[in-house]
Amino acid sequence: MMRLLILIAGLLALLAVAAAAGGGFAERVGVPAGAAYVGSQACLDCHDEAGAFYQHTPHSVERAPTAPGSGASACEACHGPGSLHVEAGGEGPIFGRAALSALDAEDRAEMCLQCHLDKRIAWADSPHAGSPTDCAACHTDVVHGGGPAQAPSAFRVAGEFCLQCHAAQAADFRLPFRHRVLEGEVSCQDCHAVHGAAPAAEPLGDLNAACLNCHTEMAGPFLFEHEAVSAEDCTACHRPHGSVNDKLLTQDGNSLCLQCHFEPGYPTIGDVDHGGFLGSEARCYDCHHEIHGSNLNPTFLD
Amino acid sequence: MKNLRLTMLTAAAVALLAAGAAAAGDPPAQAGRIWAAPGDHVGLFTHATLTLDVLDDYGYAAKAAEDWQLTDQYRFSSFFAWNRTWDSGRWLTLRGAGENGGRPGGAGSLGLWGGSTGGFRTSATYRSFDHYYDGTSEMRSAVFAAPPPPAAIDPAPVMNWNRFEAASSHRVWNGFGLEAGVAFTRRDGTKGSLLRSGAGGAVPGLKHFGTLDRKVWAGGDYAYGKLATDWEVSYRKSEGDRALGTRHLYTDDRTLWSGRVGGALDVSPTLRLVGQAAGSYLESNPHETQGLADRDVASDAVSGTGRVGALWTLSRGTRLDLSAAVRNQNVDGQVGPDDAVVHAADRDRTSREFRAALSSTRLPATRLQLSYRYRASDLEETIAQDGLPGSGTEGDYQVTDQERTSQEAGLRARTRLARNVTLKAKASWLQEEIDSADTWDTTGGDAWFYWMGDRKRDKLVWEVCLNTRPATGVSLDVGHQTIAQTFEREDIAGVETTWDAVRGFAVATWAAAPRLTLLGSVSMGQEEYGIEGAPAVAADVSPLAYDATTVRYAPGAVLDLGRGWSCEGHYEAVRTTDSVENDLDRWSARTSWRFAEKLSMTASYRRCEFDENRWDDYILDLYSLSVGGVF
Repeated sequence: MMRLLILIAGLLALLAVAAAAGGGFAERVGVPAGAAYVGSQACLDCHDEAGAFYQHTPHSVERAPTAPGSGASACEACHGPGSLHVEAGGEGPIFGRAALSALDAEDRAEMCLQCHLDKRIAWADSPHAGSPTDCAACHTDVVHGGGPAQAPSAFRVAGEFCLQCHAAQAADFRLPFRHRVLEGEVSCQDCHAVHGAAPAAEPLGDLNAACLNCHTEMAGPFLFEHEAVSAEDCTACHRPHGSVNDKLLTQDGNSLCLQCHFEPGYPTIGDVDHGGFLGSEARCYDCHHEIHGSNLNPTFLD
Repeated sequence: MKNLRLTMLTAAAVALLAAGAAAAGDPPAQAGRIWAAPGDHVGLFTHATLTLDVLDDYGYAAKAAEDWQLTDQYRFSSFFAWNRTWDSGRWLTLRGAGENGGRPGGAGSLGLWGGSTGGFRTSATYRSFDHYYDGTSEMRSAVFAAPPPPAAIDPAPVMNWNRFEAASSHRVWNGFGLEAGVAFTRRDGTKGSLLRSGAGGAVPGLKHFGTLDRKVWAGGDYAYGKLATDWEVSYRKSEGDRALGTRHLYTDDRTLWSGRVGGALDVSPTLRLVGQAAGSYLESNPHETQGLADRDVASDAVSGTGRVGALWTLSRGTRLDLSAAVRNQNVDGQVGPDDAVVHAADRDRTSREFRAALSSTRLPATRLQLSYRYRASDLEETIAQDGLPGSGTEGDYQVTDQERTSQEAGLRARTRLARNVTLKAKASWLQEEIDSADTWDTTGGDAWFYWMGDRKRDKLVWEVCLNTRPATGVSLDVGHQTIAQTFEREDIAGVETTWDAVRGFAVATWAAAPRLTLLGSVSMGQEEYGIEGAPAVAADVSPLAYDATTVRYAPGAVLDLGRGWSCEGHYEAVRTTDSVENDLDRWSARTSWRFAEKLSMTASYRRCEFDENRWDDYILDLYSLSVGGVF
């Protein structure tokens, strides 16, 4: 036991030493040789328009926190150490707009993550990670020179902000059956973690967790589970954004169920002759209506 | 290089034309904000708009109510915001929207956000909305009864959702933050179900809800040097009554405790290690009454998951992401008290996942990403009548032993072919195999309940998109998507089902004149669900296969007349042909006039026409007049 404790203490000490090591965004993408941090107040001597832009924001020279890695803050946290630029009267090297634009979106995201540490852990799982969408593409109002999108505050309904880019979902939300995002009842963030999400230890998995957040009765745990819910996810049968079918189903009618449950002896399924049940317009759901899971019947009958 | 780019561009254009000819599904394409309510003045400033809507509807009112959640002929709606920022860095925003077009009490939302820049942030939001449901069966099938209309529930079922959320975060010092929040969701009312308690034109079943869900959570983050950590704990309680008509009554009582912790360490400027762990305990003790059965249920689920990963920059422009995760869940449950167990379950599922992704921007103006994911899970489940084997009260039981493995490979690429032309492509291939076998010990010797054996799924997705700016003031984006999926039962010979989809879209914007912008989009899609070897069915029985073709086009124009006048017109048509033909048309025309420095007036006309050639077709005309101001 003592050895284990010593090992853990040693690892923690190594972690602390490693954590205390310097380096930040600028070091990651390459600092110009000989450049040093001079403090962002020096930037405002020439770039007063940037100072005005950030005056009431967390990025102002007065309020910006210090990046834990480099110790830089405000302008220099993103634009890198400015000594050479200042000494050369604005002609020396610095990460200007052109240099930052030339970076890959992931590197530009690192620019923000050096201070926004609470996003650093989950970002790798974000649907936007690895895409051309960097932080400034959405946060246009907090970064000067941000992307072409309008800021969230420009929209009456929060979901409209995301739909500037996600045109397919915008179309889905106008179908007869839909989650009412354009009406403001639910928002994209009710289901999606745009900055990435830590793995949830939800009983039915991460993807279902988004649905079960509101549709709690389907979380079970049930004695008799439907594998389509528990081992796959809700999208096996539902189109969550919108559908021409009631209940946001992918298909209307029994073909939805038969995609998995069809057998050559149809209408016999699972040794039960369904011929007497499936005549006329009958649907599987008319009998198997506890389809998300049941505590009382193994085949979800009522 | 120039020839190569030209060749690629030509190949992409040909592929897109071919795809367009094949026609496509339901995805993209939306021109402008054609859904926007009249008189929008929205921004981070103080503003308010008041609108009067006059509704004129024809046809089936319940269906219109279901689509628009609107039942009254006259509706007032309003939205407003008040915003202020002080020199100290404190700020406060109040936003709200409301309308009275449905049942008494109206619907809407109210939100308050405030904070001190870089210090703390607090928010509270409340949303209350009603959902109306059509009172007839929604089955969209050619064999389903056309007019005369079937029996209907009157009035239309309606269910109310109330949501309240409040959260606050505080940056205690640089590198250390705390946050906490609460959320409530209440559901009251009745919704229509697909269940019809019979065939044909029977009215839908009704589900009644009177539930309350409460959640409280707290979390925080801490960073020291190159180490960042975060954590969160939450408690959630869901309870209330639900019913399916009078045949099945539920009393829910569900409690969920969960927690997670994560950390990231920048070992060097080129290597970041990430680790996360989460756990939860869910306890559910519902009471269910179904016919003569009156049951207490007790079940719990213990779940845990952990993941480690490395984000490694191999060289400038090349990154390798690796991660491994494990997950376990154990479920125990029983119906009935300990001395009279009716059913009992013991379920254990363990899964492992490994991921790798290699990204590169080494090629000029090009980004490539290759990814691979392997997942495997094992399920061991025993479900018994009476008690579980070994409990002393054991009865018949069935055991499921299942192993799932899946592999998914992906490629994402984008390249700038020319200054104003970017080509994006994405391809993924998924293969999933499920080896499953049930064994049982029952009095009659047969399996207690239905089970499925070995099966396999293959899925291929291919997407390509071309973003162009062919001339000043013109943008044109075109894209194509193909999905091909096969599901095969290996335990029963000859069972194979397929899902094939082909979709294409084009979106164009043209600033035709300094005051005139034209917008347009078109998308086409075709999807087919097939069942190999499916027999022909009788004429009055639902078909076993499913085909759908969707065509959508949405042209529009915006004209600035000057002197504060502007006009907009949009049209959107969606044609869906599957088991029945479905036409959805929406028109929108509006004109705005800024009659004073801070005030403007908007008049609009909107029409929604839904046509399925059945009893529930409807046309809804909405005339609106609004006055708004920015203060």
